[in-house]
Amino acid sequence: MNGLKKALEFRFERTIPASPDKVYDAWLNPKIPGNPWSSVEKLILDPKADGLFYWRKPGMYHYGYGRFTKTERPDRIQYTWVSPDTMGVESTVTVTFRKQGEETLMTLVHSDIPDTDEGRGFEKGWNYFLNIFPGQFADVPGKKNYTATIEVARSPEDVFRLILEVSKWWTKDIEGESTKLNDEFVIRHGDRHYSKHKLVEVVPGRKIVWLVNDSALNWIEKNKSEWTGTKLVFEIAAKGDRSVIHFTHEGLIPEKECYARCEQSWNTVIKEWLFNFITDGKAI
Amino acid sequence: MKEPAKTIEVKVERTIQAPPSEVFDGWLNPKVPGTPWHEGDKLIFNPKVDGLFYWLMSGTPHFGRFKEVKRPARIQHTWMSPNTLGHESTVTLTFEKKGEETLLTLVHSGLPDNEGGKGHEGGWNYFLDKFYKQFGKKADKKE
Repeated sequence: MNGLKKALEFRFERTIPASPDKVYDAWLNPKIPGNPWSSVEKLILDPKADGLFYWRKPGMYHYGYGRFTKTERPDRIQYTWVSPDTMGVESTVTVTFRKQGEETLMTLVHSDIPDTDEGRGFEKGWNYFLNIFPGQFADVPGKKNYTATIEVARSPEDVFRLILEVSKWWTKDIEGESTKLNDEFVIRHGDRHYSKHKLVEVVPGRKIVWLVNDSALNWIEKNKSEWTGTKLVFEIAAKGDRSVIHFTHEGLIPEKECYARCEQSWNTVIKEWLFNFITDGKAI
Repeated sequence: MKEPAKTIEVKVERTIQAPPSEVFDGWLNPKVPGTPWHEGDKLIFNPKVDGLFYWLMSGTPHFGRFKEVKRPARIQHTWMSPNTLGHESTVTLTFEKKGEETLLTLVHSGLPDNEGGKGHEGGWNYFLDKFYKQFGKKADKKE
């Protein structure tokens, strides 16, 4: 087709701490970060055999169509994937879910991709998604996320507004924007800490959620990107004329290598720096 | 691919012997010869706003999304295939009453300025000639 005879194929594997049916359902749920239907501007999705889908993201040529060919819960999902990056050719994505004890081995094969620069770009794209997706399953019963709760003498509206001023209470070393939905910002502490955050939920006066969509904690020995896919959740509630802020680092569980150090750091950042900033307006 | 590619537009018209509502309904009915949906190897078709279609013709996949379905005056949908290089082009059909007849105008814009893009003019003429004849036949029978 169009003289594009050579085709590319990419294969990815991830072990995910959940059962195949849970992972299967999450792959088709647009609310779960890390699957291809998440974080899009417009989505039409009909996940059944011969159902079609359409997605669009901000920016030129960031859209695509496709057709489901297999939806065999909980073992296999297959669909075609067509976009400017495939030059309109139907490429094929096959995702299989295999039970491995308590976990699931998820294998994603993307084949029939035209051999072009854009086609080769799918490897990076899938790795981006598949580094986020497994982190969505850390929040299972029995695994405890880091949490911190503080109470302040300010209204929920004030608290909400002040939390958005990240450079005043977490670190001055911040690039990007941190106030609106889909804003992204990067935090660096020298060479030791790099994390990129996206505002995935912003409910004025009530809730702010940041998804960590990239990270490198270089002081960690094994999995330097273990923050990637985790979420930082700020829930705000009124208590009389005061406010209670409940902070959760979803996915920061005791099994993580950084837990002990990250727990100490968050205790300082949330219970002292954020508390001081909201209470007295005293920036770091 | 960051720069917008240069595009061309194809316009095809036919005056059809039937009122706009009939021509409009005919165009969205895959059973009517001369609609693209009638021919081909596979069709998934949901002609309503934000409905999608998939049409496989001679091994070439086409996808699109309906943006306007305003009976009996206007239909607009996107159109993507290897012949648009995977870019979304736009097909707009208008149905204008001309006495007892309907002026059907099909404008296909946002096509790439290459052989594949230019080929759509021949394609639409092929379909609209067939479509036109469906209504002609019916009118002949009445006489």
